[in-house]
Amino acid sequence: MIGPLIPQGIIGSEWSNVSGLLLGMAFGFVLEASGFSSSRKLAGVFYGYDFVVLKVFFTGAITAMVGLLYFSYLGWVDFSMIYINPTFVTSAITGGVIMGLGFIMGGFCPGTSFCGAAIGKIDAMIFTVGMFIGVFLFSEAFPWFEKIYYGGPVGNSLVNEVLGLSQGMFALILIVVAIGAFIFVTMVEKRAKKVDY
Amino acid sequence: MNKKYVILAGLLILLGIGLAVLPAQQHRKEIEPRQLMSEVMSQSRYLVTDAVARAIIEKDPAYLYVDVRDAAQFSSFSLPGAINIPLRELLDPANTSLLNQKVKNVVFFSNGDITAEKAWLLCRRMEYEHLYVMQGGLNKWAETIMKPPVPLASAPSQDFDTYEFRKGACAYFGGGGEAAQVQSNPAAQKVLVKPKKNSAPAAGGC
Repeated sequence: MIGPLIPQGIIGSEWSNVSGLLLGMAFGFVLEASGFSSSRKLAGVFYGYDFVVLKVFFTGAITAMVGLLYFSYLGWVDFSMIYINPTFVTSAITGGVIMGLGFIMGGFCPGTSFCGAAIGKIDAMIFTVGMFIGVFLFSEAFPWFEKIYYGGPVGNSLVNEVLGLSQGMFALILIVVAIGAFIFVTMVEKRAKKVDY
Repeated sequence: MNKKYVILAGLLILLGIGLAVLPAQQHRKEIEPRQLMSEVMSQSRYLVTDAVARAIIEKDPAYLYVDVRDAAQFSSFSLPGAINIPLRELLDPANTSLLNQKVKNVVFFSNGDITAEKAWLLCRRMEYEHLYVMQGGLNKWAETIMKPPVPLASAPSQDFDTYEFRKGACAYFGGGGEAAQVQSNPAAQKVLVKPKKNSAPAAGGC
């Protein structure tokens, strides 16, 4: 599960769950430390008064991308051994819309709702209960959703391959886009009405 | 704007430019020379002809037989069910999915050992797995399966078991060995009894 250490045999596969637990705890800690356990902060992205979600996740993504590409270039990581999730266009779009709606309405995404529940927020606890009900209903009604679930399969494709760019060039473009987005949202934040939370 | 953020953004852009201008580097996947050496020394890649014959007769789906001789030789004679990948075309991208797989054991063979060994070595260098060589190639196949030699009368009983198996295999593969020859039954031969002619006429009287 955790690459490149387990697939390359540097640590045994029995450490898979342990590393998952440790990474999960670290992730939860960072989420909470960044203030992601507050639903107002998360909902701020949609109302324009707080873009910390966008900043944190975009920074995380480009940092990981740059690190991974340099590691791969230096031969420390075998890029071909990295698992790439297969893409299903229909379910990705459908799921994205549902997730976005839930995000605006509830003020949490699945990870942050656990963070909120862990520090005793009642809205987060109710959110997690709702999530489990949703998971249960989806599992039970899976045969109905199967067509959407497996709709529009494009395999393990990468954006840069689809666009016909090299990995490095795409990375540069993404970094520029990210920094542009950071500057733009900071401007929006300044104009928006201050919200106390 | 905060100075810290400007520096960080500049750093990220620099790193990004670095990625964009760095030449694409290919990390070719290859086996460690030392490991390859130990595998070359080991005999475990060899399958004897009897094992191959048994697997073919039993229609064992776990084996893929690859004839690495050229197409002309392949069309004149090969093992049943074998596919032809001449050594020259071994690295063809079209053949990669056949050779680099985890489902079947790939058994290389040629007339003797050398060409099949070359194919084995090349594929092993690319870290393909489950590769074998039919020991002795088709020459050995012809010697052992198509024309099984009769063991000596003093040979151990296993030799006779092997011989019996080979006779059966020979019949299965349609070989022209001793076993396939119609043996004449000596009992069925007519014994001509020639009446003895009296060589000399009876001499007369005393």
